[in-house]
Amino acid sequence: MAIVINVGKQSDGCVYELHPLSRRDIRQKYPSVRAAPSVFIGYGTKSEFEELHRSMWKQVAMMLTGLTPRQIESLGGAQIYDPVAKLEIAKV
Amino acid sequence: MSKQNSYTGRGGQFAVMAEFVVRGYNVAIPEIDVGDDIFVVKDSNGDLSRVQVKTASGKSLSRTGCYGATFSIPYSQLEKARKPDITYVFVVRLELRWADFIVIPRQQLYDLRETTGVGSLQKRRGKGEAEGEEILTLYISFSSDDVVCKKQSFQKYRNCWDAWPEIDHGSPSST
Repeated sequence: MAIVINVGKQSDGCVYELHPLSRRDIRQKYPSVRAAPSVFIGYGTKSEFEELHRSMWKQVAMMLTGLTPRQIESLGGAQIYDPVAKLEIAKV
Repeated sequence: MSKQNSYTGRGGQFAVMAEFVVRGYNVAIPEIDVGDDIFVVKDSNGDLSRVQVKTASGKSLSRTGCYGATFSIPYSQLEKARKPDITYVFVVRLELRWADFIVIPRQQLYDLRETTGVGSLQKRRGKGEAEGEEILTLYISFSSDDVVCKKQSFQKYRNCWDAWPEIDHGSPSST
């Protein structure tokens, strides 16, 4: 099952964090990895969200998991998910 | 919400604000209620914390000195990461005093809910905009040496104000 990255949008940017179950799974599989608990990336307006952030999502996944792209791929990739809208935004 | 609950809720909010003020922080109540109950500001550098206060009346349990209280929070608020993030403070009013404060960052409570299943999810009943909204209900029981919610210990969050260490504003004088 893919790693789930929750996104919380606000007016000046959004906060990315791992879904708790993904965090638990990663800790179990890679107990020694260290990663950021959350990552904030700004934008000018909400409409820029996808256009501006899309190219950064792979890096966001690496920062939040502490894993390499290959390790992330081996776990099924990462899904960018808005839990409030209950919407899958992208798979990276 | 009953009239009495409104009074208890606002009282809990003031009790939490008093704790921050005594610790040397500035506090404010947002004019518009969009989910934050208190803004806490460290005046020296502008650091802002967002605090959501939930207050409940405790009920004494049969074991001496033990009591329980039930708190409810909208699940969508718990799921949403923010910057700065929310800290929940669960306040218990017991026998005419403020008994305990459970101070827990949103991300940690969300983690506990998703990985251990603390609390129970219910749909809000009634009419209006909030109808059908998912509400997480937490029943927390307190004893002298532990705080438990669905077999998970919350003891480390009990009166845990570590994120706001006391600020020394100079020698106190009698006021």
